[in-house]
Amino acid sequence: MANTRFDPAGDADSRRAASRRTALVLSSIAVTFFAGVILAQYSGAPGVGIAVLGFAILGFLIVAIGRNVRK
Amino acid sequence: MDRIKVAQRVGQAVRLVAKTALLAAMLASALMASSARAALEYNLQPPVTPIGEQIFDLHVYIMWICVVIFVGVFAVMFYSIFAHRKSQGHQAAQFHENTTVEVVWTVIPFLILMFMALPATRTILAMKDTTVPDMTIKVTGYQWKWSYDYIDQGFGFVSNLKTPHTQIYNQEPKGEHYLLEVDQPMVVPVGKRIRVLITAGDVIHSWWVPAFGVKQDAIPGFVRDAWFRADKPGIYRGQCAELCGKEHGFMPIVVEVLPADQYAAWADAQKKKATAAADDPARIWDVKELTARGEAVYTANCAACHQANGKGVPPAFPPLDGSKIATGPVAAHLDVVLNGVVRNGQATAMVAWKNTLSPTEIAAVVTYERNAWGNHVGDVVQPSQVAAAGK
Amino acid sequence: MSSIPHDHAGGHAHDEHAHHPGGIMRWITTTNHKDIGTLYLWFSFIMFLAGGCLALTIRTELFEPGLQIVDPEFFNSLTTLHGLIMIFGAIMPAAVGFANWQVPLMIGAPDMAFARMNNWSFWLLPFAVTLLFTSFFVPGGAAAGGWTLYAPLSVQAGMGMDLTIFAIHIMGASSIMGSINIITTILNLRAPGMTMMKMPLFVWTWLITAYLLIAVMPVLAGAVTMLLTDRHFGTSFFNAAGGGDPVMFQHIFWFFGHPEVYIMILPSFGIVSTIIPAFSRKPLFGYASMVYATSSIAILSFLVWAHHMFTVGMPAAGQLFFMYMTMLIAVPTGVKVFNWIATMWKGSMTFETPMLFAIGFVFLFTLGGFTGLVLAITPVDIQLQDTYYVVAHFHYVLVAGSLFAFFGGIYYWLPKWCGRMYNEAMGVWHFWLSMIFFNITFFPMHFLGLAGMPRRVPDYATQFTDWNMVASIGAFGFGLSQLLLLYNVVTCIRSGPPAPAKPWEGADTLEWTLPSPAPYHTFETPPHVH
Repeated sequence: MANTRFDPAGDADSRRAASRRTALVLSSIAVTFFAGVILAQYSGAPGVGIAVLGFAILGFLIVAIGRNVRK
Repeated sequence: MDRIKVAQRVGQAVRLVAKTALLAAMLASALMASSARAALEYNLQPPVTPIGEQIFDLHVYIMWICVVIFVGVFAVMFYSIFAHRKSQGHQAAQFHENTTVEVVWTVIPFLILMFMALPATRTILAMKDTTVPDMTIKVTGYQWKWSYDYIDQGFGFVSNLKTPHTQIYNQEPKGEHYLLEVDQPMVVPVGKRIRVLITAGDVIHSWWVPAFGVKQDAIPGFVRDAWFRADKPGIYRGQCAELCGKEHGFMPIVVEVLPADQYAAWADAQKKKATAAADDPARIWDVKELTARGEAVYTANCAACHQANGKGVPPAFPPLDGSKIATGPVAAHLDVVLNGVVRNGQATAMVAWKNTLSPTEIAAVVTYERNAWGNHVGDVVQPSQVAAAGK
Repeated sequence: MSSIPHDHAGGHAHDEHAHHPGGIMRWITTTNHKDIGTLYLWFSFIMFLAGGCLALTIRTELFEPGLQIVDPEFFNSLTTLHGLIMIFGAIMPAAVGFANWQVPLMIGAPDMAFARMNNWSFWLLPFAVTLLFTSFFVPGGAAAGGWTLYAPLSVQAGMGMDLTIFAIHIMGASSIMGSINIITTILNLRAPGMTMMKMPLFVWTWLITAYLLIAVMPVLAGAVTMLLTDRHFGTSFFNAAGGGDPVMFQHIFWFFGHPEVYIMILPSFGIVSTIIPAFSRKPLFGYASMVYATSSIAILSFLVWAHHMFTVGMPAAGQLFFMYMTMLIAVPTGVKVFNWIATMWKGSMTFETPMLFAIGFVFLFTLGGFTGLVLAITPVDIQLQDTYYVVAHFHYVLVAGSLFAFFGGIYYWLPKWCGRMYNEAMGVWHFWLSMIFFNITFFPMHFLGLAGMPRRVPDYATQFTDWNMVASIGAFGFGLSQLLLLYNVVTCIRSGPPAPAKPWEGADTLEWTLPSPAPYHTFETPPHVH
């Protein structure tokens, strides 16, 4: 059977945690788009969409940097 | 096994019946051509331009090469199907590779392709050469009509489908040029090199006249060009060739090619019509007409920045409602509109409208601005004042 | 090979059987490649019938000039959804269904490498097509810009377009996950002794297809996301007034779109390369050559995308480059056709239904390939772009090509999948009816395109009437003939005569060493391949 080792994170628990983090990041990207589209549709204001994207990008940066600063 | 034999025999019988039926159907429909409907077409429309001729010939040439190869290859396959079958007792050979043969049937098709590519290259280069035109026409695609601007000659018009709804909805019999007729066709002189500049006003359309061999996408915000030289007078019909919404199938193109003298007469008549429709700068307008016209000009040109309610988007776009300029001396107001605003030597977003709007339009919009929203200056600016100020 | 003794280390398997859920939960939670293959195949068949109904509505409207049954905007939605459903709901999932069933069996693997992800890859699809069908009922109706979704028309569209974009993202994710699965399985789980150059060609074509999918589905995702932000977030990717370019959408879309059509045909090449040697009782001619030809086609497919855009106004140098590259793809494709015929040559052929469809494929796909060559010649394409000639071309290669190969594959492998023989006479009828009605439907479209009938129009000038009538009649015949396949498959599964392990004398791939039907778990101990 295949024997390529794919264990960079070591044990099952940290792998599970890593997978959960990945899922969180990906789903928050999707949620941002959804929220942005729905808000833009309902408010009709031109700036809403780009504001949502802008806040999302800033939010991601803050979380990403913040996590590393805390460590 | 029996089942398979029966199935194969059934298959052979069906094949024969089908072939006959298909042949009969095609013959029948060919005969049908004698009906009121036009004959069944099998090839491109007869070309009337040199490029159209090249395309027609290229297609025939390539199609015959394809037919010969196709018939040859499948003659081999069908021979094999009949001769190399188990039911005839043929034993399977076991050969399964041959490098020489692989090389041969890679190189030969490659060479055949080169022979096709050569004439095609020549035609592409000829199609792309839009230099030294005799005339230029700007074609704009809209949802769902075309407009033609004879930019060298100062007139233009819109071309709409002429087929009535009653025909489309089957309440009346369909005319001869059903869906291929317009109220005002594009008219060009015969034998002249016409360059068409093609663009669009909303979504992508495509300007296509099969008899000319011209098809060019009309892309909003960009101008593409193409050229043709129609060598035979006549009326040539085409259709929009890029899905553009609901009425994509209902915005045809009709080009009328006239001998030189008839074209000159038509162009003259068009120019006279254009000047007649243009505003007379000496006319004295009454305030209600002028303000109504001014509102239209404002909506089309000014509202994007200064907003429909005149409140603007300060500080970038100042409000006009209650502004010192719009309620102050006429001369200063006219100056801003005619000549635009330049700050510290830099041009601003407020352009010089004298370059785009006529004196009548400027008079109308200035009058409107001075009397709309909360402004009630009460004066009327006539086109003659604008013409004088513009000097 | 497939029966596992209880005291074997893998004896677990017997216990696992006892824990398998039955009923609907079995299908929802399955991680078995055979079950998932079955799910994909039934799903794709249902989508094929649904997309076919859309097509029949289109052909009914086009039977005569004038607007009879639908309004123009709805007609545009019909053509758009017909395309999306057939491509993303029928052809692609069917190909994945064949991959799921056959790849592990043909390489001697017990299952796919990522069995659980396999389940998700499938179950995303019904969700996505629900979105597509729902889009018919939202305000504004379903997307109506053609399956190619060109901007700015698609930027203008209503909510249906947003649902479509979402559905495309989901289907793309499904394809990417499936492809990762297939590549990992093929590269890592082959039985000992099965080197790459000993794999059946079907496995090769799917390996290459999977790489293509991973390369281009993200590009499509990018294009539709840009569309989404142009629609809602005030971006101007495709809006000249904001500094963007509508043609950029076309470039990005077709960079996906052209490899996509090869994604749809390569698995069929693999199926045909399996069937023809089996029924000729002769090995496939030029195996190595076939592998190289398929790889060349895949690589070249990245270099030809703008042949879908010859009329946008690109400079002559661009038109020349893309014309030459597109013509070049004819070479490896021709090599494959010659190799199939050379396989048949001096074989000992019988013509059961799978072989009939395979031969029909070779004949009609090649015809479609020739019209593709005609379209590759730029000056001729200027006349034929966006006309019914193009519609004829791609239906020849996708229906008489891809779909006929899938039909052949179904008849070929059905005995292995369900342990029963289908009705051969009905299969032959299905073949001939499909063959005849397909040609009646689509051959006249070449003439319509040449004569000047544009595509995506609900109504046409009267000189196009006769061929449109013929095509509509053919379409109904073709559609109804497919019910024969459904009937054949259902009665076979229920009550067909039991099939032997190897019903096809000339078949020689690993799956025929297993009993029919193939047991739920197979090759838990890998076979040894010589």
